[in-house]
Amino acid sequence: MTGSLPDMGQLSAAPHIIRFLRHTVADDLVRVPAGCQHVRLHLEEGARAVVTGNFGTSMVEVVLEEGAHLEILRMVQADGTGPCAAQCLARLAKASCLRAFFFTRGEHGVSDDIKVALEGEGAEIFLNGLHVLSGDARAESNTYIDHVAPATTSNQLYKCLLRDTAYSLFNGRIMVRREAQLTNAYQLNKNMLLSTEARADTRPVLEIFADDVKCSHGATIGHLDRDQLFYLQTRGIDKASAGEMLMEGFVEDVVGRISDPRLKDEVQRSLR
Amino acid sequence: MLNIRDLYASVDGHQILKGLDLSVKAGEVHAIMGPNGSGKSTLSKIVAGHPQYTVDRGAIEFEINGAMTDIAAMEPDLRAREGIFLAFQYPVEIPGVPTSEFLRSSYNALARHHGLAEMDPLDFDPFIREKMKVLEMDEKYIDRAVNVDFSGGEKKRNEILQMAVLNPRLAVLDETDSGLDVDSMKIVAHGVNVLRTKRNAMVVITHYQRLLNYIKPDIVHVLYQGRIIKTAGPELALEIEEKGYDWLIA
Repeated sequence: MTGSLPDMGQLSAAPHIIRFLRHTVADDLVRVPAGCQHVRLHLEEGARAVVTGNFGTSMVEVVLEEGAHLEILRMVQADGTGPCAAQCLARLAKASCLRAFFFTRGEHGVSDDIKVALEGEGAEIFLNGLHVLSGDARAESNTYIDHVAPATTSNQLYKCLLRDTAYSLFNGRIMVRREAQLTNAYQLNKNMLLSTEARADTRPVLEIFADDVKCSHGATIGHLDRDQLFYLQTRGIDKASAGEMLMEGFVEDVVGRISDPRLKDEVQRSLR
Repeated sequence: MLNIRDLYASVDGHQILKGLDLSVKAGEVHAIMGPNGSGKSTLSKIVAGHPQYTVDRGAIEFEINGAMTDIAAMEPDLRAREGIFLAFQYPVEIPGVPTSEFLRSSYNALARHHGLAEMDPLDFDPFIREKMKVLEMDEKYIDRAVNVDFSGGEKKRNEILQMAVLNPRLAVLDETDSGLDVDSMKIVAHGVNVLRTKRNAMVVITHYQRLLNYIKPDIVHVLYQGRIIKTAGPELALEIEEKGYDWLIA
């Protein structure tokens, strides 16, 4: 890792506010301006939007009013800008839905802090992370999903593809409060190590205070799967190409969750 | 086409095959039957070239360009390109890799090897859909990741679909009937029979006789404790169905 992570306290206080009015649907992809250090996305009741940005070190605030729907992608590419640290705070009201993607690629470190409060009944968060790292990059993802209201859903998929001496740490905390009955929480962290020196740690924490809930989590850390390689090879595909296919598949499993086709296309092109 | 002589093979230090002999000619369908743990699946993996299984003694020869060639040290992908196909007992799930792309990559790997034209997605799409019809496979599976969210029966159909795409000279079907209901088994067997020609051969590995009602073998072998202990015509399968394996083992 080059340089140290910036201190969040140094960020500028005045946020760049993007507000989506009641029941409006933003047809175009909304891009957060480059270099923006603090952005607030506020979707009023029933509004729908898709937002993307290359914002690395920044604070992202998300406010979803009742029935609002936001898909957001943060993509950081290796471009010599150094390590980044993003902080995301989201509050979701009744029946709103946030689909969030935090993607990083390259040799620089990343440290994400993501806090999501499901404050209204039926609110849903789909939180996805993908770190494709090489060199001595270190990725740290801290997620905290707070199920405050009943019948809320959280679904997290975090994947890391680690080369060289890259390292990933996933801290996934799920809180289910006493009032949040009928919560459905799911968390999965998968790490693929492509060298003997790459490492990953995963620390799921579930704090459950309601009794009628569905919560599950899983984590894997491993190299290319031997049985999958063999299967592809028995179909005539050479070992190197089979490995490439498995790596692409590993990544595509997350990228495929992006529901906006333009956004998905953009990511697929940039990952190539 | 395939000639296995006095084969000893092991997995993780356990000797499984102990002096197995098997000779298969073009146009033949061989059935290999045997109780659990007799080495049936090991035989299929050894022929396909699974890296975890090692040949300790003996030879596996396969006809390549008209000459019998020892393939024991050959990579599984090269064996596949030369015409060996294994239908897995437990097909492997590959998340994130669409079935259509996988099948096309596989087809093109073989086409390249044999100096034939590769197919782009536009050519491949009608080609694959026609093959799926024979197997009565729902077209939705083509867009899914390989074997992910496939039912047990669909996974087995997908194996035969791959066989139809690759058109192998030697197909080894490892317990293709396990986990299939009678209707699915008929469809799968029909798919296999369509692919049966004078120039290719099949080795059908099965625990039960019922699959052999639909895929008629020319020769039936009984594998026990790593060796073929009996070889006869199709009537042997019926006899096993009636009497079990005990009379052969005693």
